[in-house]
Parts: sequence; structure tokens; C-alpha cells
Amino acid sequence: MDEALALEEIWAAYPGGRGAALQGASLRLPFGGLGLLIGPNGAGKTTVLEVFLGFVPYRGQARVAGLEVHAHLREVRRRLAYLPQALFFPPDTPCRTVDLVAMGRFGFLRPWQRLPKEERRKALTALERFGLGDKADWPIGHLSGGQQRKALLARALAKGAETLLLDEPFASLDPEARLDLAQAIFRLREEGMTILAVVHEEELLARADQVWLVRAGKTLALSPPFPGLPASWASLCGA
Amino acid sequence: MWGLILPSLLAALLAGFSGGLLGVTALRLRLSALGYAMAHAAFAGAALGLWLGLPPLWTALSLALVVAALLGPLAERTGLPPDAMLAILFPLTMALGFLFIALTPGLPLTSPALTILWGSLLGVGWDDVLMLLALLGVAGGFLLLFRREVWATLVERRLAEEAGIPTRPILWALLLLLGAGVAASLRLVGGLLVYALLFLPASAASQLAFDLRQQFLLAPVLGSASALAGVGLSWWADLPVGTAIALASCGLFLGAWAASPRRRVPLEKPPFPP
Repeated sequence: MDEALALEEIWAAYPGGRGAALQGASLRLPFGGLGLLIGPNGAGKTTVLEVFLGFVPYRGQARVAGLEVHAHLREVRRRLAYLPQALFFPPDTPCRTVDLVAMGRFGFLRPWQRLPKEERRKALTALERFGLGDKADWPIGHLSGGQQRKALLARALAKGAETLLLDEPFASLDPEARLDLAQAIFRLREEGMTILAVVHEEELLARADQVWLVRAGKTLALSPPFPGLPASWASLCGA
Repeated sequence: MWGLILPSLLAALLAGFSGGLLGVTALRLRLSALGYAMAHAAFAGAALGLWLGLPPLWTALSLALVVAALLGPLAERTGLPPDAMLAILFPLTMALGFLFIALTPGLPLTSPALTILWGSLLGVGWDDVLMLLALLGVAGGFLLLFRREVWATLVERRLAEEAGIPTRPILWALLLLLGAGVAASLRLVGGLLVYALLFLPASAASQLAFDLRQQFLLAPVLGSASALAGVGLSWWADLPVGTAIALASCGLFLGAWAASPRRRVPLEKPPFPP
């Protein structure tokens, strides 16, 4: 059976960028797996996620559930949920939390079609699963950083995504919020969601199936067991 | 007298309504320079029309639409934000406007090219009303049909893309509509003050309503109210109409700010009704 996510010899470059951000990167993550991308800043970790989302032009083979990203972009995006790097909603963001969660389903509807009540109910249920049921009508920008991240996880659940792409989900969170968010991510994984995360922290490491070191646009699959990894983390991610 | 004032009143109503509607998108996209750039593109277009002996209103609209249509692709090609592209286009179009005026022999200061900069109550005709009506039909229809796509694009573009919404054509269409909105309102309000109708009603609505959908409903009403109040003030106090509309819009914004629930929201309660 096809993997949930697969890259083969991917070269990717941003328009106007200096050189290729990815230079022959490859990885394979099976359905239900938890994969981590580690490495120094600017190594190309975010670009890996953006290739799967079709945000960046690439050469090579990039597949989501066996579907080539460029050829089946609409279907690919329906299967993915994304938590972008450093996405914090300011207090004046004119959007209710429940609407942001329901937004994940917009691509499934025709332009003139009303959002079915069922979709809103799904969004509410997903928020309740993450302990945010009482915040559904709050502006998303009035939630704390950790709550905003959990709302985005609820969005992935309500969307019915098979695979979750997380870009530095723990950045700017305190230790307690990081632990809470890690538990929420594990719950999604236990339900069968495939997860690929860019991380600089160790919270997800204990249960990772696969870890890739990304450096200078290339991926290097690290061998399990990973428990010894934190000690060598700094040297791996260094120059 | 009504034959003289009726087109102005209707134009004010429609310009205020469409300005408020489109202003919500301009405010959210942080395109504060849009008014300047579009106004001067239209000014250059009007001057070009006079130089070539073509109807200035239509050449003004055409050049504003061309600039609006180029804005999205140019910003993407250069990697600059649309706001920076506007700041580049603003002096270019202004220079072109003055160049065309210089090339047109014997152009008086009261010519249509220059009244487009400061607006004219009596210069508004039924062709302006029709143009504003057409704009409102197109803009309103687009925003209604693609309300979810526009909403998602304005809230968070990356998440909207991930949700399967083609944000690029949505954004380019919004820029085009904004350009058309500014160009269609020029004869009434004038290029120097047209952004008052675009940004002040939308800003006032953002003071009174948290939700983007509520802002889309409220801003056109506030825009129409301030435009009509401006025309009334202009007629009553013999003020230039653009000035009067800008003053009325500012007054409305101050009133909305004073009454804003944002300043009274208790942090432990949601500001939306349950």
C-alpha cells in the first residue's frame, strides 16, 4: 500500500529565492506514523511540509496517499491539515474560534452552498474534544497561544484530514502548554492520523516512528532507537 | 433642483455602500496606500483622455482598472507586498498624470482631469450613477457568491489555501474590485479624499463588530450614511463635496470608536452573543 507521505529526490526553490531550499530530499512515512523533522534553521524543514501542501514549486516525486501533489492538488489538500509556523492570531482577528475550525471544510463545498449545520456541529464537537467547547464563540485572537494551537488541531479533526503537518507547534509555549499540546497530538495519532512535525523540542520524540535530520536541503533518516537523540540534538542540528 | 441633486444623492448612496463593502477587504488586507495609487492612476487616465480627446471618465476608469489588475501579479513577481507595490505605482501614475496635462495645450485648472482630484457635486451625472450601480452589482455579487472563500482568504491565507480555497484569484479579484470602486467614486468624492469612503466606514464597522461577516453588513450602511451626510453638509454649508464626505466619515468613525464594545469587553466573557 502507498505511504501517507512520500518524497523522492525532491528539489524545491522559492520564486526569487537564493538557490534551492531542498536539494534531493527524500522520505517515506506510512499511514498512522509519527515522523519528525529536525535540523538547524534554514535547513529546509518547513519547505518539506510546503512541498506536500503544494505551496512551493518542486522537481521530483512528492506524493500524499499515493497522489502526486501537483497533479491532484485539490484532493491532496483535502487529505492534509496544516499548522503553520509562528501562526498566532492577534486579538483583533475578526473570526470566531468555531468558524476557524469549520473553515477546514470550506474546500469541500460549492461556492453558493450554505455551510451545513452538520459541519458546524462537527467543529463544536472537535473543540469539545480538546477542552475548548466553552470558547467556541470567542474570537480566536482572545485565546492563549496554547489554546490557539489546540483549536488548529481541532480544525484538523473537524476537517477529517488523514495527515497532519505541524511546523514548530511548540514554539513560544511554556512547558505546561507544550506538554498539554503533545498529549493532544498523541490523541490524534492514536485515532490513526499520520503526523509529520518540524520540531526543536523533545516532547514528541519518545513516540516517534521516524526522525529525519534536515541539513542544507537534504534529508538523512536517523536510525531508531531515538531515546539517545536529545543528548546529540545540539551537535546534529549544529553546523 | 432635484434633477441636479438626485444623481449626486444616488451616487453618494451607492459610492458609500460599495466603498464600505470593499473597504472591509482593503482594511483587512492592510492596503492603506490603495486609495492614493488608484486615485492617481485614474487622474493619469483622465489626463490621458483629455490629451487624446477621449471621454476622461472612461479613460480614468480604464487606467485604474489596469493598475488594479497589475497589482497582484506585480507584487507576486517582485516578491513585494501589495502595499509596497502601491507605493511604487503612486508616484509613477502621478507623474504620468502631470505629463499628460503638460502635453495637453491650454488645459484649465477646472478641467475634468483636475476635478477628479477633489470631486464635484454638480459634476456627477447619470453615467456615474450607472457605473456605481454596475460596480455594486459585480462587487456585491462576487462577495455574496464567494463569501466563504473571501472570508477565509482575509482571515488567514495559508489556512485558506490548505482548506482548498484558491486564494490567488480571490485576492486578485478583490484588488480589481477595489480599483474599480475607487475609480467609480472619483467624480463625486475626488481622488485626494476617496480613501475616506473606503477606510473610515470599514474602520468604524470594525469598532462596532468583531466578526468579519458583521463588518461586511455594517460597513456599507455606515458608508452610505456618511456619504449622504457629506452631500447634505456640502449642500447646506457650501463645502467641497469630497471634504464634506471625509468630515462626515471621520465624525462617524469617532462616534463608532466612542461607542465601541471593544473598549468595554470583560476578558472573561466572549464579546459575541452565544
